Amino acid sequence: MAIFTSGIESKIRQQVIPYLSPPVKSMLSSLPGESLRGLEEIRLRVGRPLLLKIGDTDYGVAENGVLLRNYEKGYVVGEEDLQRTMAAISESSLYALEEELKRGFITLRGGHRVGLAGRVVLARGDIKTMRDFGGLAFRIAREVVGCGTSLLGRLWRGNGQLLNTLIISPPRCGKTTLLRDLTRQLASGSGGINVALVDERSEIAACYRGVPQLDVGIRTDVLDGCPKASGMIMAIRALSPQLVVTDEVGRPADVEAIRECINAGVAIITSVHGRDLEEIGRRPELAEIVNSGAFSLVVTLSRRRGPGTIETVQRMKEVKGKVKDAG
Amino acid sequence: MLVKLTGAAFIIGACGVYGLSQARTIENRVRHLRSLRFGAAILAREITYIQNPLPRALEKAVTLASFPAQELFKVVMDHLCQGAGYTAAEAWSRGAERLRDVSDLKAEDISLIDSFGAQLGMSDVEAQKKAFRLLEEELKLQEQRAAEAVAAEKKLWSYGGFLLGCLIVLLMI
Repeated sequence: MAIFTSGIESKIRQQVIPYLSPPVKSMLSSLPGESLRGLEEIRLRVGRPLLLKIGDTDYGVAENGVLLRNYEKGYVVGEEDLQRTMAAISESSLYALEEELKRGFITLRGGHRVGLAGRVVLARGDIKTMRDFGGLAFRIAREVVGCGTSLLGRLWRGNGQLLNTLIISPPRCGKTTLLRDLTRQLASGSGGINVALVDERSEIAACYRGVPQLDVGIRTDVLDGCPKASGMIMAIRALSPQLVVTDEVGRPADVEAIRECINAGVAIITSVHGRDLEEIGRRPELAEIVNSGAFSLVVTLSRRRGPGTIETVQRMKEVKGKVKDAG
Repeated sequence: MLVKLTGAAFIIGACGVYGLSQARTIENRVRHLRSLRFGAAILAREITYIQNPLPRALEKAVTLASFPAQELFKVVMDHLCQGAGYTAAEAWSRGAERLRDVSDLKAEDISLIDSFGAQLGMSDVEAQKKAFRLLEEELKLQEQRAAEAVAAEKKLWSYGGFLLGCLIVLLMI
């Protein structure tokens, strides 16, 4: 897959590093550009080493800003680091982030995401908020422009209809990145179509205050933070899309909403967590919908040759029996 | 003789002006506490009902509040927006320090304002509502005490300055 992540270093310097506490900010600012370009995650956990995930490797950071493979010897995150970072990412306004705290993450300008760990407060069994933060995980948003190009031609039937497509992928294999690029390409250009993007976890368009931070195409309407099942139905009724795109389906209500979309003549591209069709077959709702023929194309991803490696692209008639056996 | 009269007038005048300025300080304290109480109500509305992020809530409060609450909010907003990594509590503390320089508030009033900073922004809406309600109640009590002090001390300072001046002149003759 061609990976174009131009400008990621300056994006990290301008959109991520300023939120960190002064000591961490100073250490990361002195990292060489090459390290920043490969940076995927920054993890701050109180009383434990600061960890940077570059590629598949975790590094610590020495106080002089040098990366350490032996992260035990690196800078240890203090409570003050976490408090200052939290104050910066929330603009000292936790009261304005109630939905984000319930969801467990905050999206920053640029689409970067900060996962939160701390004490969860419940009200009548539901998550009400989070406080006493003990860990923060910054995940760097990367647009891999063009990563869906090789797949794009296979999404169409001969008669010009879009195939309902299911992308199967384990975590961190690039399914969201692929979905974003497919959305962008399908909704752009002179032959583009209207797309409704139901982005429950703000991962695909990475909206910041309602505005997509990543390119999802000129004809894409985003329902940000909207539950997938209700979002799909809402999109069909309100936005008259030709395609609905959503991420990580799996609940019975999601499956029901997918059926509604297909019955309404709206194409769907979605993803699901899993390694392969066999694994999907063990989840009754998903196995049932795959077997019903709702999806015409199944794509599986892995990290075998880096994130976003397309392992298989199968038409439904090839895979139907396999899912039944597995189920 | 003329020199003596001029000196006496100067002493009485200086003591009188000092007394009047003290009386004005006592009166101003009530006004300043009221400004802070109203300012707190404006900021509370921006935070708990409109749920504007703190810098924006402060910006709005600056336009609506009167001196010295306006000055407090401006200093806090400037510190939060300069990107130097200040927390809300630290920025608020800088604002409280500024009040010490520009207002007629007593140390106990400044300390009350300062202690609120620890609760500013970093909790949910309900907790913010409670914190603001408590602050407003406490400011109201301080204001009442300050008003009582005005009734008791204003006349004393207004006339006391001139009387003290006269006494000094009499002792010097």
